[in-house]
Amino acid sequence: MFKKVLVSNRGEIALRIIRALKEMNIKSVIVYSEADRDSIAVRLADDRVCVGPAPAPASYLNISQIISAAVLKKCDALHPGYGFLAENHHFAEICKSYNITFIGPTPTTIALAGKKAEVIELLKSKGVPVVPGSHAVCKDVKSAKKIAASIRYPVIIKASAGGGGKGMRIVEKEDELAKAFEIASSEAQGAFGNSDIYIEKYIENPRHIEIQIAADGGDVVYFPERDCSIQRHHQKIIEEAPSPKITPKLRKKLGETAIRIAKILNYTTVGTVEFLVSKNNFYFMEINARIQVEHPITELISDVDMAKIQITLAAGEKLPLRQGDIAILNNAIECRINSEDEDFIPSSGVVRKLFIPGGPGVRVDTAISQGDEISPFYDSLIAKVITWGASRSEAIVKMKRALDEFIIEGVDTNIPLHRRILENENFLKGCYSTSFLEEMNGKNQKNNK
Amino acid sequence: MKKKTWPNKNRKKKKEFIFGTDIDIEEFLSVLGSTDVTEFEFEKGDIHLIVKKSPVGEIIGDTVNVSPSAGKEISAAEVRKPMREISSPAVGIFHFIEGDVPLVNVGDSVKKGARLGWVDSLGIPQEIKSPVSGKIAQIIRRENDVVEWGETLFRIEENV
Repeated sequence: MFKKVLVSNRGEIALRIIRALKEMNIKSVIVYSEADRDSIAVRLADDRVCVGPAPAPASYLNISQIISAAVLKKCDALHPGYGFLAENHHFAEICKSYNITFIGPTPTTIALAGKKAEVIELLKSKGVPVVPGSHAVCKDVKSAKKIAASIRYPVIIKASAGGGGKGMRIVEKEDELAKAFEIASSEAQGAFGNSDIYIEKYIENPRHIEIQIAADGGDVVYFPERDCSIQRHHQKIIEEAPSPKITPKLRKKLGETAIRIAKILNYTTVGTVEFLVSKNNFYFMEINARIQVEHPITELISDVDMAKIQITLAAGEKLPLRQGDIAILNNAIECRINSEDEDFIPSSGVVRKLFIPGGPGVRVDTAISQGDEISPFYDSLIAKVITWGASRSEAIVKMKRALDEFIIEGVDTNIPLHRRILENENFLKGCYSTSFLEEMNGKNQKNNK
Repeated sequence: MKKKTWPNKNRKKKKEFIFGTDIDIEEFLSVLGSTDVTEFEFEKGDIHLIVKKSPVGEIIGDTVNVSPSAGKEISAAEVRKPMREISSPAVGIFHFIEGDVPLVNVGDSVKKGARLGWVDSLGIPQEIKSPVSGKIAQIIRRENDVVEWGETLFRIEENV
């Protein structure tokens, strides 16, 4: 097992990793930017190295400084968390060349997982269901029009290197295509440094269902699905497990497909296979080569520690559990608390007063504390409130209580939005799709009139 | 870490007087600073003022003690010229000795742009050059120390 791990991230995920390392009796060294000097994660790590000023390109994305810190502090492994350099195969490669184990899949797998269009083509050729479309990089508007006509509108344009909704455009009819193509491709260039895009059939009102997998290079196991359909601008805000609408039969089918995909890609450590599910049909979307924001709901329904499993697997050990050991013991929900206003504009400022909810069935993953400055330099996710219970309704009741307890003054948050969702009739019935939020807001606007 | 500079620009606008006298503090200190006088004592009624200047390169303190009944002490650091902190450009190993010879010593006068040392970051030397002309007041880290980005390595007393 590792002796000392460099934590190459910030905020709640850095703290989550430090906690796992402490419980595993592994030393932690965190790298941080000047803006995070007084943060809880920096304080709780065993050692710390400032690698640059506040802007992420000069600190959390500054590969040479991070590697230099890992080498000088004699770390034998590095945990990238999520975001920043977590899915950068060059970074994983550089770690390897310095004899530092990158806690994640191999550089080759990361590189492949990042080429979404290529992965889709590969899996399609192996018989994995995928959304109809080009999947290969679409070079110009002319070929885009040809593909769109063959799969019929509506279509969706996506960035090959993308994620998080950037470089993504839904096109209803042909005369909108040229403009959408241009916008998506320049957005992709700006966000990922790669303007490649592809086109596929837009599946209306699907659910976003994802399967957590864990692999040791030989064996692969899957965990019960997470339903991440509640999104705003293609970014998840509420996740729950298990999905209220997936049958045991479909669950098994999705899980077995995820395992097949993992084996085709030679996937190791932990990862997530994302599917679009429409009625009883499912389509592979992408594979995320990292530990995900929403991993706690899986931990709570199946009583596992995903961060520890990931570290254990990266150290070359065998899977600590078999498929038969994995069960659904609870229902869990996660609300992502973002510092943003009602229009999803990030809100920054000093946290004047803070009370973190607790009590039975409530877990809060956060690294903020009273007096902290919520900086405009980083992601707006400031806390994850996770609740669990024997039933879905119990988890929801606990979530409502937890959000009522949550006090945060000094910045705007999306807690009011979460409250409205938790009161929504369709949400309570479990009847929702990825368009849930637009539909809810549309209805509200109508009601206001 | 905040950089400490003197004279403070904000204080230029507003005259401040030594308690109970009509002596302008700033004028008084700048006159004193330009002389070779190392110690100055003044007594009038219940005002007792002691000002001491330290040898260059040492920092004695940085507070002004205002206490009218017990007299007043202004520390030497306040009297001296502006101090510039030179921070590490990278995470790496700090060097200021080349071969066996230090590039700079405490007390050395350096010109703006002079080479003070370097930080070896993954085998790539990141040069540290003086941003000002002045005198090396302090070399904070030792040769071969592991340093992080932004930490102070040198203090230079800037020529005004």
